[in-house]
Amino acid sequence: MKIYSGTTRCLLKNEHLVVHTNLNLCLRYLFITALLFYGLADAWAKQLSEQGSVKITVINDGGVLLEGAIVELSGTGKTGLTDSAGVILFKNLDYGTYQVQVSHMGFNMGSTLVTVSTPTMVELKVGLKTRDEQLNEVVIAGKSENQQAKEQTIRSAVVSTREVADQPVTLTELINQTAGVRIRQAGGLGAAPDISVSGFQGRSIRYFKDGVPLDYLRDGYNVASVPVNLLERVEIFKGVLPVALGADALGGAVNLISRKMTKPELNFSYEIASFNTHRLTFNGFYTDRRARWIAGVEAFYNHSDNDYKANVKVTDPVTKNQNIQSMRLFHNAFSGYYTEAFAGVVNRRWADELRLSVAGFAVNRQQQHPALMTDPYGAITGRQSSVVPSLRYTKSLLQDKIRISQFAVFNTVTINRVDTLHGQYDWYGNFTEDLSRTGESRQASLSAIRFRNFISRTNLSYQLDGRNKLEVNYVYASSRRTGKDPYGTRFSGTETDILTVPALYNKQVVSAGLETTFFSEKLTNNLMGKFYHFSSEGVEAWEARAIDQNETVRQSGQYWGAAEAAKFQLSGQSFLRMSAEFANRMPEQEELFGDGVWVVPNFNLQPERSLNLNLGYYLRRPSLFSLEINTFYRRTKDMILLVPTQAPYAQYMNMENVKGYGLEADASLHFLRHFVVNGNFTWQSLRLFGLTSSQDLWKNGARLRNTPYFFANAGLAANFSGLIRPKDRLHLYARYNFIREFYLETIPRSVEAKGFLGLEGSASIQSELIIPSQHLLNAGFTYQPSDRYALGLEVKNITDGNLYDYFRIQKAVRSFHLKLNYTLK
Amino acid sequence: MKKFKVMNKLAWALCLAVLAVGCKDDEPGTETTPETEVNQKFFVAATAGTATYMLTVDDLESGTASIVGNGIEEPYAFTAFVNNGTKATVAMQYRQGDPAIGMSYGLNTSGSLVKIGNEFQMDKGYTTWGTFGDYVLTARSGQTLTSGATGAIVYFVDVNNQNAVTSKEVVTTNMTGNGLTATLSGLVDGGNGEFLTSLVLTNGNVDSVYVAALDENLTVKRIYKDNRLSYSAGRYRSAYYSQIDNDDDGNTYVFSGSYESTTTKPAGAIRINQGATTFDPSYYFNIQELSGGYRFRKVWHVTEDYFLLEFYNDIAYSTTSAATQYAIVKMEDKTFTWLTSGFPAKDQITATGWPFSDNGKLYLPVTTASAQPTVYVIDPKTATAKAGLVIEAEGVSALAKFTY
Repeated sequence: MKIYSGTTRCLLKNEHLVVHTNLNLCLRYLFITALLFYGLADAWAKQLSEQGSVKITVINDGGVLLEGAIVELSGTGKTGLTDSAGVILFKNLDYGTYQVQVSHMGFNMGSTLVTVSTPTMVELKVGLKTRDEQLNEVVIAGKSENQQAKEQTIRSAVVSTREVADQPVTLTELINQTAGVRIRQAGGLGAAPDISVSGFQGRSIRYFKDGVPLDYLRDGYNVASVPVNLLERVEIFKGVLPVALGADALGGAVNLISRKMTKPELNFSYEIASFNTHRLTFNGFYTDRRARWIAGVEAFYNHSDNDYKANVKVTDPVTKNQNIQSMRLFHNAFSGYYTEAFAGVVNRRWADELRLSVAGFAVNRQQQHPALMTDPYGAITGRQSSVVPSLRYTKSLLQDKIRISQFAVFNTVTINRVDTLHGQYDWYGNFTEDLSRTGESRQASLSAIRFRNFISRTNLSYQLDGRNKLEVNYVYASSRRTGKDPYGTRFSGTETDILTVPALYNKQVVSAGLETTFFSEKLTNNLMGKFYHFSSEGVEAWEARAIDQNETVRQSGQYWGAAEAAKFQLSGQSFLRMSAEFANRMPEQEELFGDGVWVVPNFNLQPERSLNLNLGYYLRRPSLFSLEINTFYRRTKDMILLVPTQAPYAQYMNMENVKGYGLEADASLHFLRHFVVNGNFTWQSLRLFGLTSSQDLWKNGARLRNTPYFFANAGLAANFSGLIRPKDRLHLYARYNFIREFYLETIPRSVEAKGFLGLEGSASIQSELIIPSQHLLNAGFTYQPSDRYALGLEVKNITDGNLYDYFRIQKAVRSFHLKLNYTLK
Repeated sequence: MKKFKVMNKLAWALCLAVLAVGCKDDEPGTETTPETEVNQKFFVAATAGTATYMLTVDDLESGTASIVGNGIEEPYAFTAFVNNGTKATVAMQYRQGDPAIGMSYGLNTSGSLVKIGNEFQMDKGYTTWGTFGDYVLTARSGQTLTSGATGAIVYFVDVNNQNAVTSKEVVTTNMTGNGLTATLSGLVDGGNGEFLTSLVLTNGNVDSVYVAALDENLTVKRIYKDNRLSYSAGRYRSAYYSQIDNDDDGNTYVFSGSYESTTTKPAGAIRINQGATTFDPSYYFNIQELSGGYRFRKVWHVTEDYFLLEFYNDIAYSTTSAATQYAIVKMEDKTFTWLTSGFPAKDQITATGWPFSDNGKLYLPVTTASAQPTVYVIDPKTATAKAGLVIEAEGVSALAKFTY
């Protein structure tokens, strides 16, 4: 039951705002939308006036909320499952009396009557008695929303963050436990994440928060910073994206689903860990007894010194020789907060939900080294901050046949970089003054760059009849960059900073899809079309070229895409899924215009295009085992890569074509009542093709560089309860992660590691560019004396191995994490 | 490929055996340790993408070498390669504002290419380089010294001692007695415990040339001054290319490409005879007259008193202009010949690497728009070139010869 999900539309005046055409447009847009909604709401109001709603909470005989209970309102055809709070909501019920039937595996069936005679929501609590005898036959257990997400036609890997909310685990670690997905980070907590899904990386993958493209929150809210407590789950789409996620993703998407609460609740957690790491979360939700108003707060704070030891090349003070030594990092801290407060109305005639929210965040990062851990920096810092007002509106009409959701956000993110030091640090943290230079890095800076974002997402779905559902999604995103840097590039012959000239980028993605069921819902089919448009404007500039102020260049493009997905239910417990998509990823502002210094503009960039095919099989016996096998094929043309031109300059170009296939398998097994073992592996063969220049012919057939081709996970967990106290719970777990060696650069196929699937030995090449095979083992436990408290302890990287996601950027050594959780309901 | 390597080893083993036998025959009574000096291989630093591939080949004059699956792969480009003898080559990155890093490559006892010695750091970077005794020298001018004065940092890289670096400072203000500050360009061994470097004066007289002789403590032993040339340095962005070098007799030729548009002196050369304390007043070579007005940017010694000069492609030039036409000059005879026979046309050349001279010839890596990088073998006496080794790569940075 999605009660407080969906999106809204509107925008707010931001404090940084200057009156501007964009704003006028937005306001006009807002006005028209408001009119539209008002009209719709008015039209349906009469029909709805004789209707009310029922909220049912299911508990067991011990008072514990039951998730996944099947609740049926006889005579209405309405049925559903309770959510994690044991709640199900039935809306748009005509006045009358209904019989409520509630069933759950392991419990006797319960039933009661409920009468709806006013628009006010009727609240009902149903208790189920534990069934004494064990059933012989296997019962299909209720499916949680997370489980439902796993079984969608368009496949997503679902990371259930709720289940691990008490563990001091990071979201990136959790996601890395998923087959086919690999997040790489350069360093410790807060380091920028780069996700790889089926070999697609970087900008080919898009991030969303509750279905809205996440670019507007930058590093304030991303998979590296959000604590698991604050999320309901994470959906990782591989290949095909559903209509609701409107973006020009080529290879997949990550959708962070915020925690959904339906009852008043307060939750607080604190984690303390090695390297002076502190993570706090606070989550509060309030709704009045009649569920007409909601308000809440979601906040987190992260800090880590990230002062772990890493093997770096230290310059001997006497001989100036570079010797590899284990040194403690000293300027590597990360800290940041994100806080969001919201208030709104729910369950109104004109809105299922209208929510206004204001978020604020700031992220501060010390920069210890340049791209590689080659040189120590001791004073370079970066900061990102913003105030983010947003509005969300959802409404279902005609007995849920039509669903409308609208989300709008308007904000300005300010990005600062400071590098003004006169001198240098060494790896011991000693400073040597040198007045003849400014800045420790090669780019002295005191910049303030502002990105002004407006994003609107409109989603409309219409259940045409029992078999057909139409869905339309429209995303409009615009960003406007301005800024200044006293140390930055100037226009030729002037003192005018090139950053002061605005750079604009607008993007629109329209997608429409038809979902049809056949053969009494055994086959579900999704057919989708997508339209992409971008326009961009900026100055053509780079360091070696004299720049004139009037050299503004405009670029735009529009492209089509299509996707098809089908799911065939083989039995109650198994199904087959296939999907195919032809997708585009449009060139970004930075790729077109460069960075004004070292990256040269390229206005001839074409979009990356990809054809993806996916086929999967899923089998699940609740409380026993689950098995999932997926394969994919992809063919990507014109991948945009940063290519060095004449040193030190580089330019984004449509360079490579990649095709290949992959196999992923994931299984879990429950045994001996208390234990669960799970494992998965990902193997992929992604190879270059279509290179025609004589110098590059050898690359045809070579593996896509800088992409792991084999990785695997294994996990073992045990659950016990009633150990010390009657209702306490103990959860023990261990997670193991393996990545096979891979290479930063293209290596010829002939020297690749040999053996079955290339898994034997090492490549026969002398290279500094090998990222060796790695093993990571984490283990811990959580203990819950009662529903209120939880304590988690985890040791990460138990074997203290040297871990690298990137060449010569070492990640944290062994660390200890303690997490306390307090919940008040 | 593996098979080929094995064959290679066999071939070398055979050579060793033959040589060992040969030594015995020639010098009866001496120890029978093989005379390893005569085993040699050539070194090629090839580039592709952002990486550099260190390769060895048996011959620079013919054949094909490939980076594909071969050599030692380094994830960066190198700006300069310095050869001091045949034990190792020192490769240096520039890395813009970050401290420069150097490393060296040579052969192990079995003739395989290996990294030799430690990586080293030049914290202030470098803009010019050369050799001095057993050292590789690099220098960066325009630095604030520990005393607060403006000067140059000179790094002495001891290639016989794991690349241990000694950095020394020299004040460059008023070196020439006129209060001006100098930038060092070119570092050439004087052979007498001194090295020579050209001085480019900031706001100085562009119709004069200065050369300083310094000892290993960076004590200025003397200043050579002459008014027949402009300063001696090639210019490319912030870099100063050496335009001084020795001939086989130890005489130092000081060239000037006459970069400054304001100078009245044509591009040419004068000479410091070995051990002399002044320029040779009787020697003057007006090169610009023979080149038809073209000016040159880089200078390399080939053999005897033959030099190869790299000229700008057009009469008009700037700090980033293309310079891909070449001429051979014989200094004593003051003869000048454009290198055209067997060599690509200047507008065909897209990139060149650092050349290397050996056995009376100069080996110059050239990349053209239509062909793979190719080593051109230049015979200075006939002023002809021929295409030699082809390297399957995007470019070639440098060449060297190693013995083991």
